[in-house]
Formats: sequence, structure tokens, C-alpha cells
Amino acid sequence: MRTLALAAKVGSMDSSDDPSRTIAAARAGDLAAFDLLMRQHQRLVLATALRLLGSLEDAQDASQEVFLKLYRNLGKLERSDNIPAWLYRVTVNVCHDIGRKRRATAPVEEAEAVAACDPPDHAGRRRALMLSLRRLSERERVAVVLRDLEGLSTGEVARAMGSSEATVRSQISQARVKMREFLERYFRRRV
Amino acid sequence: MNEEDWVELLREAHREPIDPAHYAAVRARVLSELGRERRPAWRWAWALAVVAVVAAVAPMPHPAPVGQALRPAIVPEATARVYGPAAPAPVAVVGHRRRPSRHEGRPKGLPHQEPVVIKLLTDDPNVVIYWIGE
Repeated sequence: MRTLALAAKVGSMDSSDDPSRTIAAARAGDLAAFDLLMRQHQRLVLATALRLLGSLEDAQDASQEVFLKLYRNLGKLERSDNIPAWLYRVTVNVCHDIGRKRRATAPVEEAEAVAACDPPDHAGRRRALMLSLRRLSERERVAVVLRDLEGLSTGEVARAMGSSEATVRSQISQARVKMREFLERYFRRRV
Repeated sequence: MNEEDWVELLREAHREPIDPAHYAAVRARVLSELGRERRPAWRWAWALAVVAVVAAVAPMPHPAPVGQALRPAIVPEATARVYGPAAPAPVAVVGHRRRPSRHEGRPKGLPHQEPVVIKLLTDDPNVVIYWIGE
């Protein structure tokens, strides 16, 4: 009995604690291993997609597409530490495709609805911030989400977006100006 | 609210945990899709197995009776052999179209009638008798 329990413990450590072994198993067609791989990166993909698309439904569609691409490209990912950078890049691309196909609800109308809430509590301010994020251009939003929210370096953001670091810095700067203007308008109205 | 404040507020909103059910839904959809992609090979294998079993078990169909139905109808030749009492020689009756002469006109309104030509073969191959009947 003790031996069995120990064996089970060793088995679970083998599958979850060694990322390269998990990837190898998933690459060999082990769906349980791939499920484990998804659990390890699900927050990265879904939260990023949610901030980029602004809709949970669209973010779930994007996440599904990203993980399917991950499964089909496992052979190209030699090392497990390459996976997050790869996932950010693919998530940005998939969200770009989905965003092109679907027109999001107008943030201006939602902003009016938020402004109607009185007084502007903590949740209201957060919602206004999220709306300001959605008013940015797609490239600016990607730069802010990856740099300010996901905490990537400027170089990592540039690689994920396929652009230069200077461009990313410029986009983040422009995005912050736009968000500040939106929030000032919003909060001035509240005073 | 300065810039640092609202960036921090934005981060706080972003850090807010997402309902685990949403993650589970995504994973289930992905695994279902991957399972569906694998299934066709099994489907084909099953289909081939079923076809093989049906081919082995099903009785062979009885062949259609050979003969009249498939054979082209034999049109009887317009020849007949007639054996005469004295000299049993084959008689061939051949429908022969006599060439109408230029001066011979066919009466209008009457059906065209072919003259009957009977070819009588004798034992001597050099002797052939034609009997023409109007």
C-alpha cells in the first residue's frame, strides 16, 4: 500500500514537474499531458485574449484556437521555456484575426452607461479603465496589455508583436496619453 | 488620479482571477476538437471492417439463367432447304430484289411487291436453277 502510494506520487511528479517530459508526452499524442500543458498556460492565454478582445466569449474562442495551434506546433517547440513567448505571439495574432471578423460593441456607448453610474466607485473606475483600453488602436492596446498588464519587457513585447522596441515604446506612450485623456474626461464629469 | 494610480488599478483588474469554469470550458473544447481530429481514422477502419464482414457473410447472388434472355434473337434467314423427291437437292429461297427497268413504272397507290426468286442447287455445283415467281 505504501509502495503504491509512493509510486503514484512519483508518477504525478514525473508528469507535472518536468515540463520537457510533459511536452514530449503531449507531442506523442498523450492528451492528458497536453491538458496539463494547457492548465499551466491557460491564464496567460485567456487573460491576454480577454484584455485584447474585451469579450469573454471571443477570448475563449481565441484561447481554443491558440491551444490547437500549440498542439499542432509542439514539434517545433524544443524547449518548454519557449512556450510563453510563443503563446503571447500566437495569442496576439489570433486575437487580431478574430477582432477583424467581429465588430466589438461600441465602447463609447458603454462609457456612457458607466458614466451614468453614480457615484464612481472602485468598480466603476476599473470599468472605465477597461473601456479606455478598448478605445485604443489594436497595436497600442497590444503594447499596453503585454507591457503594463502582463509585465513583459519592451524587447519581449516587440518580439511578440513583430516590431521594433522603439515602435513599442512609441505605441505605449501614445496609448497612455489617450487613456489619460479618456479618464480625465470621465472623472471630470464625475466631479 | 495620476498615471501610476490608474496603471495600478488596471493591473489590479487584470490580476482578478477568472472563473475556473471558463478555463475548463476552453480545455474541454480543445480536447474535444483534438479527439474529433483523431476519430476519422477509426471511422474508416470501422467502415472497412463492416464492408469486409458484409462481403464475407452475404450470399452470392444467383447468376441469371444463361440463354435466351441474353442471347440476341436469331432472325431466321430467308432461306429454306427443299428436298425434291427425285433429286434431293437443297433449295435456297432468296429474297432477291429485281432491278426495275427504267421504263417500268410502279402503279401509284399499290404496295410494292417483291418477286419471289427460288434458287435450286443441284448436285452439280456448276448447275444452279433459279425459279422466279411473280
